[in-house]
Amino acid sequence: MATTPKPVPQLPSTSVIPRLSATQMIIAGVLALVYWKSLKDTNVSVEELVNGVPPIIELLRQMFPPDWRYGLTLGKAVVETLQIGIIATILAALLALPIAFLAAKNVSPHPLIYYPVRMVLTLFRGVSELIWALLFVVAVGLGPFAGVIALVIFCVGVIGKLMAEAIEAVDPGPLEAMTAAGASRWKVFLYGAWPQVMPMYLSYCLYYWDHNTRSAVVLGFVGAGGVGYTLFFNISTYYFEKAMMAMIVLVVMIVIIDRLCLYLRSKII
Amino acid sequence: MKVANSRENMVEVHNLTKSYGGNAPAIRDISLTLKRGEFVVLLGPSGVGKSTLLRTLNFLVRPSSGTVVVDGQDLGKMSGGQLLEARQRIGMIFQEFNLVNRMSVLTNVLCGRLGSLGFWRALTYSFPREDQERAVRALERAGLDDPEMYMRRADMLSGGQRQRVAIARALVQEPKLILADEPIASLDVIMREQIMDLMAGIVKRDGITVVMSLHQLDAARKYADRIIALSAGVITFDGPPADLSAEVVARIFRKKVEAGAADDDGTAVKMADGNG
Amino acid sequence: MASAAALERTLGFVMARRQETRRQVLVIGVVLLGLAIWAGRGSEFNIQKLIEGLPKFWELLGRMMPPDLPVLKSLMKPLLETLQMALLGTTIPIPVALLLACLAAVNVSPHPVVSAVARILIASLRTVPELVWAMILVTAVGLGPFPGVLALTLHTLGGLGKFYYEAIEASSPGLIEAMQATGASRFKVIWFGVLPNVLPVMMSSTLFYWEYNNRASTVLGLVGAGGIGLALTHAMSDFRYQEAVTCLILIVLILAVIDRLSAWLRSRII
Repeated sequence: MATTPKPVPQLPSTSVIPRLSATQMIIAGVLALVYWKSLKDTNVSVEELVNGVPPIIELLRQMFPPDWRYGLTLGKAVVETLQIGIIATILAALLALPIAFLAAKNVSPHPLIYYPVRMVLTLFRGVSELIWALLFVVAVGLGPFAGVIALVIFCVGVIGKLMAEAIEAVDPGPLEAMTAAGASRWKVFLYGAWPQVMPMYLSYCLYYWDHNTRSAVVLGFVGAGGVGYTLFFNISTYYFEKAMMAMIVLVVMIVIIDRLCLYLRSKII
Repeated sequence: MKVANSRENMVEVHNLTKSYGGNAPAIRDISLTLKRGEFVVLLGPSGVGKSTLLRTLNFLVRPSSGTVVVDGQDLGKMSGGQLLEARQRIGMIFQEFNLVNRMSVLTNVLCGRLGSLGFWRALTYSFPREDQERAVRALERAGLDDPEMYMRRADMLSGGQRQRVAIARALVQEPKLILADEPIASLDVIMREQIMDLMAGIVKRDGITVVMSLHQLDAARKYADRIIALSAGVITFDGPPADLSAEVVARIFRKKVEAGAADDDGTAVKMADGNG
Repeated sequence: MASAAALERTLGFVMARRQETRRQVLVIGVVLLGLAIWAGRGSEFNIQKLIEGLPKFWELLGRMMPPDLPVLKSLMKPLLETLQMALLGTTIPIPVALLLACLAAVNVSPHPVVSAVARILIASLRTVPELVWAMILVTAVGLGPFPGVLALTLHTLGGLGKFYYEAIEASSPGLIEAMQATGASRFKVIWFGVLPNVLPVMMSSTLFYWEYNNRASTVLGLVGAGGIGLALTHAMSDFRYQEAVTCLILIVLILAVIDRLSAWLRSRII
């Protein structure tokens, strides 16, 4: 009458300290080592933090209260930043679409076109916008234009890739149907693939309008004007109460754009 | 008895073979002649080459060897532009309808006229009035005559309605030939009958040649003028439904019988009695 | 079969709808065009200037070639510094972000005012670019990677905080109610009820910000906050273009590696 014993279910461990396998302990050890070295190399330590507190408190003291009257003069800078963000997004949106068409395996005219275009897009994305701006300052001088070019290049790289992937993921059925009805390749794209990817396209454009406006602020640090330049100037000349005001204006501006984007997004679906 | 002459033939296929990569050919040395106004059913379970054969008729699939002549024109000898024009006179409907879901019913139907649409009109989605008229007529012919529905998004319709829209899209091309790839496989039993009735009506009334691939035996029996059965890429039967005996059916669906499979379209064969 | 009159009616109806859509599209198009012109003018957009400037750009690229290879050795430490800054800047804020998120999420926060304040704090932290934080902190604590780490930490605190509180707010209210009904303290309700839902978001957003911070930390050197960005800035301002392009190539390569690594980690962990 031998019965096979029922397997005992493995209950969760009851100890507070978890039991780790050997591999897990090794990984944890390596990570701890990496972490400790990082802390050392970057001078992050409790001592530094403690040393840093007085200057930071002094800094905060200088930043508050913010210079409210200065805020009223920032209109022009805000407008400039907005303009950079808007033109960069519109241009990038227009350029990214035909490029995405060429970079999508299922609609691209030829592999000899598809591969180079994809590589160029990766190059555009690989370098940060700030660096593109630095490079283009050499070509067109300081000012917002260099910033716009930099943003357009980076944005085309990103949206181009995202859209190419969206086009590749499209339901091929309608495409087959239109090809069967005798439509040429671009018509098949426009009527079969485009309606499917259009909502994603609009969504990405809105998202990158927000992103580009933020980046436009950062580009102000390399001379591209706008609120970013205002910030840069005020911080480097130690006018901290003005800098604080500019930061407040910046945050308000971006929050408004965020809300606007959310609203517009809901209209697309 | 009519003597068959080439002007009566809608489709002539000679020694058609198609293989993908290094695998065994999907269709092997097939030769066929289809007459105008015939309702032809390509019959057989999935994987026998029906879809491939169907798609060679409008060169969606390029044959590895052999010729396809549709309405007197050799598709293999055509330039890109000529092929587009040839396809504009051939309609096609699919199992999954292949409509653009976000577009309206009407625009979906109008896509049938895309081939002949000029550059600027195509770019701005503006179809000429005659095309819009054709589209409305095609929709009515396909059994959808509620204008309210025309502006609705295609994905808001039921399966049967969507296939009707797809049929309208084929009809708006004013085709001489319609290819149908398993058009009823995604529909429920009532809709199947309606769609098959519609297609039969199109053949009879408008004189359009229809080549349809099916695996539903009873539908094939009921509607086809001519059944062509395929098995492993070759033709195993070619004739009117009346000639389809139990042994032939068993041979066609041999795989299913061996597997003991039965499905709702009557392909289970009882070897004991003579019914299919 | 429809009569000619019925056909007319249908067509009229259909075409009226199309006119409507077309009008909307036209309006949007005109608005966008107007915006583009206004924005282009304000940002000094000038194609001619670009065309004229291209030769100068080309010349710069020429001066950057060939890349200065011997200098690679001295760039390793700044490169490592960049990566370390990113690692710390991503991981240090995690516990604080969690705390902030619990205060900010409306379904878990002790008081609506606390929630509002926490949300404003999170929004400000994530909106101010890390470069700005870095510049400010450099003036306070001096040059080097330390202010860089702090800057990334502050910005990431806001970023992670937002992801976390959105995840918390997405938890089912039923679960929270059920736990409260058992008499569990607020802390236990959060720890056992809400946080398990946040864990997947935590992993995915941590990876996201790790990628993002690696990108950001290459640039912080611009304001003196250490890393390879600093080496790049020095090289550019000393006209050592070949060294600068070596830095650039290193940056592109390391970011590509990080991208791959991140994608691999994502597939393993999530």
